[in-house]
Amino acid sequence: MKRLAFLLMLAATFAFAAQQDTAKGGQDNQKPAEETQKPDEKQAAPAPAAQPEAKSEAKTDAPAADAAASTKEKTLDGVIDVGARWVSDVGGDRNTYRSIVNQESGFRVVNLDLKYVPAPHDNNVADSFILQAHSWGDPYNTMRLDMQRNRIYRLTSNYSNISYFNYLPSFADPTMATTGVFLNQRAYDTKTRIFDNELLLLPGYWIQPYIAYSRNTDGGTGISTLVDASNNVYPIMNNIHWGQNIFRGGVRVQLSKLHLTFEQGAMVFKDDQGVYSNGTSLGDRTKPYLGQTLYLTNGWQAYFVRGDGNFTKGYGTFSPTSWIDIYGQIYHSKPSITSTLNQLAQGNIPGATPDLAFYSTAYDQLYGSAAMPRTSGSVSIEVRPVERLRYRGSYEADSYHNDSSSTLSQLYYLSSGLAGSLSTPYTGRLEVEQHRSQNEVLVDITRKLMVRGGYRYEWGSADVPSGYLSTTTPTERGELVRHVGLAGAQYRPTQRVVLNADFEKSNGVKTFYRTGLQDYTKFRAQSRFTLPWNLFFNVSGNYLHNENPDSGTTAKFTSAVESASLQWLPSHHRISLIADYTHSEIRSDINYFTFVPYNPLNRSLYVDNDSSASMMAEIALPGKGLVKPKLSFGGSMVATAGSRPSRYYQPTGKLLLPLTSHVQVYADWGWYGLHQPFYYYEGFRAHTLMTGVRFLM
Amino acid sequence: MTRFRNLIIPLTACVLAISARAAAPARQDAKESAAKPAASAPAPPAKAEYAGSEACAGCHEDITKSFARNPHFNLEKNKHWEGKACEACHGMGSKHAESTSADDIVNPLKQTAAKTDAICLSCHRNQSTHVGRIQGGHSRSAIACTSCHDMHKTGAESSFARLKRTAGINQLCGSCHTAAAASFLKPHHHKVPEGAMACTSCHNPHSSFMSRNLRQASTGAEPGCVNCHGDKSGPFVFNHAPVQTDACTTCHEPHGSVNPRMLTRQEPFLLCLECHSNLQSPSKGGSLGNVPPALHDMRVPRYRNCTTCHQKIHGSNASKGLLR
Repeated sequence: MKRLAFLLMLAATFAFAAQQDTAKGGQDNQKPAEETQKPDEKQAAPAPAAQPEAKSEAKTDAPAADAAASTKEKTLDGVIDVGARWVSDVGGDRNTYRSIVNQESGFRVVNLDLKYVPAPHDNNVADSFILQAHSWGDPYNTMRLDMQRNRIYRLTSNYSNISYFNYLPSFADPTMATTGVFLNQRAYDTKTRIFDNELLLLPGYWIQPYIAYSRNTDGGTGISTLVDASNNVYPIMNNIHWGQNIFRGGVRVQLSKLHLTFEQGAMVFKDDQGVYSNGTSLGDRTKPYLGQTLYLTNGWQAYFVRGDGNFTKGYGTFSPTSWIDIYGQIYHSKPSITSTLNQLAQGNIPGATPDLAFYSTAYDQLYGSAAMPRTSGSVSIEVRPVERLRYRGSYEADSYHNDSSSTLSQLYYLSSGLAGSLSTPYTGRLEVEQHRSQNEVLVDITRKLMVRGGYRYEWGSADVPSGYLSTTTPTERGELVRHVGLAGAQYRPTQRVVLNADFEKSNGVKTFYRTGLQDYTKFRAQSRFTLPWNLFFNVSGNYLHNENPDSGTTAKFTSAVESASLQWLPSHHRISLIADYTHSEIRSDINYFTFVPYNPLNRSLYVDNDSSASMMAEIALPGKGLVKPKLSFGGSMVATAGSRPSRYYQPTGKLLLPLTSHVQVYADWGWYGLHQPFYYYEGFRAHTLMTGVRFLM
Repeated sequence: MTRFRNLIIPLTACVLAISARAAAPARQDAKESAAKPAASAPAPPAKAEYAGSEACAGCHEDITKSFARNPHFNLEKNKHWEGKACEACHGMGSKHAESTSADDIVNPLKQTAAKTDAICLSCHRNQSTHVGRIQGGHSRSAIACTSCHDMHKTGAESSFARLKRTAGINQLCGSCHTAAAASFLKPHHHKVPEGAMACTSCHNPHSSFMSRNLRQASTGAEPGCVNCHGDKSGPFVFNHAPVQTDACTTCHEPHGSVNPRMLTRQEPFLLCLECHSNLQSPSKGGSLGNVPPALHDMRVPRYRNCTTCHQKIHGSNASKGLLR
């Protein structure tokens, strides 16, 4: 890490020195750049390679949109799309419908996309306002505000509100269905709200301070489980409230040869969970445990986690000459948390004590803390020694550890009073270090053919606390050593055809986990054809094969995906067609071990043979004047065979009728249908119909 | 010292590349002097000069009109490019203005990706969004800036307008990444087709130090997944090591899956036991987490969804067994 920091500082020092030289030159010579350029530089970059000031002024992340149109009057452009949706009765399992689609009947602001540019005036708050809102009224809605005053500030705010409903019977203990109480012990009905804001000052200038605030929350209810010492599982209600506030501030320095960003931030975090039972529950044990019938009459849990931390980031790019680019970043973060748990269980409860006794009340109290300082960084360089040759090298390092400790106190009561207690202290440490070094050479063999080749080396180590049943050491050590050969090519025989290929071959010596990438071959090919008559055709294929031949592991994984897409977008706009088809095949074969029943050679075979297609056609229907309706239809289908066969269809059709140049009405029909033969009880089907009005500004 | 040894290759390559570059002008000079024609050779062609945007507009009226609504038109007001914004990207145009030959003007669309990028990056290289550019997939695969960004279109069809909208971003990315787009058609997916997320919510198409152009977390070096799923990032009193050391894709298909919770297996127990599955600790291969976590009878259905009990599977602050 020290080396990385040193390299970054060195780069910064050189950059400032180079910048000063350039600035001197710039003052002396205001002539166009090309006159001072070497011929080869001219060819590579006809743009102003030696005009630092011009470049830094052009370097606005988002210049005032269309400001150049320099209108004297205010303008308001955009679209407002409002409508009402009707959803039919859901056939099949409504909970699965809500877990996947979750659309309901009602009024919606389908889309709002407005841009306001006030008349130019010195006292304007902003030169432009962009407001976008999407799907308000639906479970997934977003809003975005982008306002800026040229060269003074830019404010961007993004808000999204995503409902997360998940209640799938297959994701639970299936025996619970016999009790008729809960079909899913891991259900959620929560809302995630993400609110990001950034205020950038002096956009377009060489120095740009900024501040940012993000708030991310998740809250709602669900079903969780309370598990006793006998592994009896009691499904109980759960209140969830999770939240995180992030404050960031920094400064960007953007010069012709150098960009540097330094950022400092802080984060506060909380994760609260309240669990409570409602009436007597027998749990999911269908037989007595050590001759006793277990039950829970009252259970609650209060779980509070509080955290905070600060983080520092530095990243930059540096181009000391026109043929060298250096990139680097360094991150340091230090989050920490404290946790408190209070849990009460009343009924007939088995104790965790070795005496195998049963108690009327069990009370658990836990205090814990953890901290995870992390430092990571990377540096990369591109050198273009001659026009057709590029060398790219990079080195990355990531180092972190998680120190934690806790004390669990357990009290057991009989009706006569305190019957036993247990105190369990814990300290743990997870320590990880990972590195990656990559070297690649790219050669433009001809103007039409580029090839590249290189080598990547990955290495690292991880020390983690051992599992429950480990009897050897309190910690385990895993190592990562991987050698990867890299190759790729791009062939562009004409401007209308582009072929890309990418190949990786790895000889893994060690990997952290049995299922990790060890000896793998990865191949990807992609072609894009721009055909006559505005036809665009795209074919791609991906292949990955991984094997872990280590003793005790027989892992083979193969994934192959082929995909084709066609776009026909004729210039007369009377008809358009977009269609694609993808076939993918995944096959994972690995042995696994179970104690009970004893079998060291169980086989986990996962197969997913998947075909998916989507199509959307749009036809302009005959009409008079402005009333030229458009009909679009299509949809998508997914059909899979293998370990979880599925059929998921989403056909759709839409009729758009312009009434005036500013008003359109539309009707939109859709159907959702899911069928999974192995989990037939999770199928559903539903029609949706939406009608609305679209106002065009 | 062992770690330092791993840097020998990149350092050597750097030195070689820089040396080659240093030698290149000398070779070129020698070549030029050898090829220098005799005094009787014809005079060299006139040196190109700036023709000005008005000269361009004389023939390319439509392009000039639409370009006037493009953000790059701001260059016309730049003190160094005033009146010659077209030539900021196309190079000096006087020869082309005289000959009207396409050979006398730079057309970025007809250049190699490296040259096209060089034109764009002469202004845009030193920007925060381009940190890590050379490690990004697009740069490595020679996907030029102009594959996604157009300069002359205007209105809703322009890349500037399309890339301001979630649906426009997703459509553009999906036009090449068709397999990824197809994954979102599966029942369990991130809400990208619904418009709640854009491809750029997770990926930075310009650059990234992470594989697959993934964005990093706003609070540190973790993958950008924790920007939304911050409760999974830790620190935890009791860690589940792969959450910290491996990618989320070890267990999840981030684009879409037919399996609930976007898991890579149809039922959780397979996913768990594929790792927790070796008596030896450590295993001969040196991999982690092999010791089976408990003595459950896996024939009993109640044990087959491990996360029913081990509910804090991403990390717990109260239970070593990740039970609460």
